[in-house]
Amino acid sequence: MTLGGYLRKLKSVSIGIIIISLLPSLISGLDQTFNLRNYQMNGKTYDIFPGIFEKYFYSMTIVLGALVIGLFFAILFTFGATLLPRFLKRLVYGILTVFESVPDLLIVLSLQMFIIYIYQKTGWLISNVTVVYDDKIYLVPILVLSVLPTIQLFKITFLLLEEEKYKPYVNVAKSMGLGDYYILIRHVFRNVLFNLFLYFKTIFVFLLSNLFIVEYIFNIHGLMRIMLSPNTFVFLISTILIAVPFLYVFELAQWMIHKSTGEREKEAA
Amino acid sequence: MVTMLDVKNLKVMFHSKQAEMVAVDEVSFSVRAGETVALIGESGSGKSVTSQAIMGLLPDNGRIAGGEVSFLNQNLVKLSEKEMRRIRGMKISMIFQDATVSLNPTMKIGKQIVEGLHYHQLFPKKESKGEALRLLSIVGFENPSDIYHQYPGELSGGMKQRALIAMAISCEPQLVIADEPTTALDVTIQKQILDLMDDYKRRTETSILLITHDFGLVSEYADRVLVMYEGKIVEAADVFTLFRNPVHPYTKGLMNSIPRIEDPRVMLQTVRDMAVQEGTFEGRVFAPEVFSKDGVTYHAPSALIEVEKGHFVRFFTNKMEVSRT
Amino acid sequence: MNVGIWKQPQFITGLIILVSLLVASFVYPYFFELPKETKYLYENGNLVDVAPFPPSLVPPFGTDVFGRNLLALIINGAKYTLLIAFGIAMVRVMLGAVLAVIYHHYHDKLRPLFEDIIESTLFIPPAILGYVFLSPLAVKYSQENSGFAEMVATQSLVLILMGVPPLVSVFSKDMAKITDKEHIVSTLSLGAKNRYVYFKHVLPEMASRFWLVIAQQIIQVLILLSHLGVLYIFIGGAATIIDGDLLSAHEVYVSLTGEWAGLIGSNYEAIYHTPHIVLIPLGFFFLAIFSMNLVINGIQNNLKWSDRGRGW
Repeated sequence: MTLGGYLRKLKSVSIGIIIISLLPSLISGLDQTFNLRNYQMNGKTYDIFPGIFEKYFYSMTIVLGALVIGLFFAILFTFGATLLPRFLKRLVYGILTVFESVPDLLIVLSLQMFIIYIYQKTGWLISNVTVVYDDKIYLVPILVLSVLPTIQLFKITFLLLEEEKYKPYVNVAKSMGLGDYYILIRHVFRNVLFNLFLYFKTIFVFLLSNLFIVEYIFNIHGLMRIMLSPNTFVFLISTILIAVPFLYVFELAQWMIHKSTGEREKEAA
Repeated sequence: MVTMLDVKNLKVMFHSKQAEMVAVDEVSFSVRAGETVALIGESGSGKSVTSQAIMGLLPDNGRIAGGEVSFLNQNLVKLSEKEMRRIRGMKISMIFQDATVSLNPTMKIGKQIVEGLHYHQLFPKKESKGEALRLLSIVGFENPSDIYHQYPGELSGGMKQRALIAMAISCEPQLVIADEPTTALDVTIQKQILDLMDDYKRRTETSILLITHDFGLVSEYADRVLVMYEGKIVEAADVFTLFRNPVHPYTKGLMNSIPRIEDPRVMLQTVRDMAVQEGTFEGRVFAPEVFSKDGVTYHAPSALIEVEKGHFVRFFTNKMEVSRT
Repeated sequence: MNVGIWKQPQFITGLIILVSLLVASFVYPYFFELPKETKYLYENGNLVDVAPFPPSLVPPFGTDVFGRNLLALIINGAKYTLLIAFGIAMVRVMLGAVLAVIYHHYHDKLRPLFEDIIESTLFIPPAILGYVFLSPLAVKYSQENSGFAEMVATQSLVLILMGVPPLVSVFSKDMAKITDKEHIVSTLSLGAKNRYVYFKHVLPEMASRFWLVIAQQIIQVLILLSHLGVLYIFIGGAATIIDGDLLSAHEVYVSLTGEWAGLIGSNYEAIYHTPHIVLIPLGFFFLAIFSMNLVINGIQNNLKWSDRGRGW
């Protein structure tokens, strides 16, 4: 992958973002606020720079933390599930379909209620449930945000693994006298993780949407919240800030897939 | 010559939800050191199952129901999974049919072909790269150091098959089972691959069990031929005898289905049979026309009968009991 | 779509749940009156409680902040919620398919601009995108006092257009795969017109795919609606009314259609005191999404089955 290709892509994506941010005023014919200096939230005025970078790193920390935790548990669960007999595997798949259907809003609100309930019963507050003004909390939003990716990733790795286990190269590895667990870890799991890369876009879009709900419900003053401010410039700069690192990851994923498999491009459904 | 592999009365059964069926029955043959033995037959005749049984890699619903597979006087059927792993790859290795899916797409070629060496700790890890390059050049790559870093997706079908051969010979096995190694390749590449295997065999005294359905390949590369049909060996002889004097109608049918350049006006013959039933087999059930050595009509398969020295044929007898010679 | 789909238990179960919700929602007003607001509950002439009432007083789910029976509201709102989601998903897919044909045909000229816009939407959560487009609309309509139908139509249009570009991209890739198949190539080489090929081969081949995507889109729209609900963006617009007594007056947004997301939004303020008013409508969102997932599983199983049938 070349840096030039990435920059070109970044440029055209930025143009797309600019078009999108200008569209609302074209449609509704309203004057949009376009203020380079400050924005309002919860009735207070904040400076955009340099505060926005702080919000940005805060939100990214929550997202990455949740992604890492989600990935860890998804792999752990998948590994556990491979050891189950066949009828239990079908049960696991059924339970996953149920959990997958729970709206993110319901999960986030329920967890918030649960934390309040614990507080009311025991007086023990895991951390501030909602944020008043600018205090930062990490643990709770990361944990809450990691619930849904765990379910989603678990389902994907589970399905990928069942598919991967019966591929011919596994038989070839067996014919070379390699042990079952060695093959499972060094070949099958490795390929499942690699295939997860194919689903990275889907997972990312999902995660970003969840992040917004977590920030909104827990009243966290993060990047997603300030995108709601009526100042178009804030919306524009926030979106570009998100695009810069993740577009790179998308391109990297695409490049790796292309390189190692010739042309196995699969659109993750 | 040392007998490398000796299979006696091998019987393999598969079970489905409804019933259990016999896939391979009464299969006996031996492979001597440095010899290429061809196992020929149509799809569903049990040749691949035979090779899987030898390797101890039958699918979950298959089992060895009888007989023995001895490799250098050691009965493989009786070995534990752990002991079997010391045989696989190190003593007996296998080359698979479809090289395009037989390599792990996410692992570099170089790493993949010496993985067996690592696992069995036959080679110090530091020197493995040199060994991988050596193996790659053995199988005819002119630029092994480039190939080493490439992924399977970047290679053509023939190149992948060669990489697979490099992997199979990495631990210097004494027996290589090649399960239709060239079926998925085009004709020019086929010859290249088989010449490569033949050359390697001659240099290292390795034995090859070649599984194929192509009599053309058999005539060129095999020392002895076993014709397999419906889970049984129906004719066995050395390659010259068989081509000079095929006896079993199925063998004749297979041979006549190869075009002959010297005699172009003769129509190609199809294997004639009376399709009896849609069985549980992958292939068709073959009922040859009435056929015997002495004009008696037989309805059930006999044991292998030696019709001349080293030439065995399974006739149809009218009695169920096996008549031995 | 073929007959096999009616033999998929998951598909049938999901469909039965959704259809019974819809039927109940349509039939309900003929048998019961729509719930009335009851702010105060008296017993023997004494004030006992103020709305919202807990489930113990008004079974099975209690009432909302205006003292209306929650179950009745949910049943009543089901038709709006499900039909809006279905309508938006349906039109998205139809529009996506039509544009994909055009796009697939002329993609060389349209591609650069189009792909960039699609790629850039990945970095904006759909709820924020919807909010950015819909909140100026809400302000505008409340100022101009436009008609209810016009409001619903405009909002739906925005929600439809938001979802179309990614679908065009996905569909045109599918079409490219199909037109590369040998039977299409041979049809074209025999002199078939492009239009003929699209209507006779490409679109029929994609039919079951369209149904699958519609089902997936319904789920996405439902989730988007629930998000917009807590952002106080309701389909059909919101009326702002002053709630509470003179001393503690505060504004409350009320959905004008009564769909579930509006129910969540208008009760969202009350979540800390009476969580069930928000969580129960969300539970029904879960039920609807779960049924849709069953339908999707059914369609996918059926596709696998018929693919295998074709293979042999």
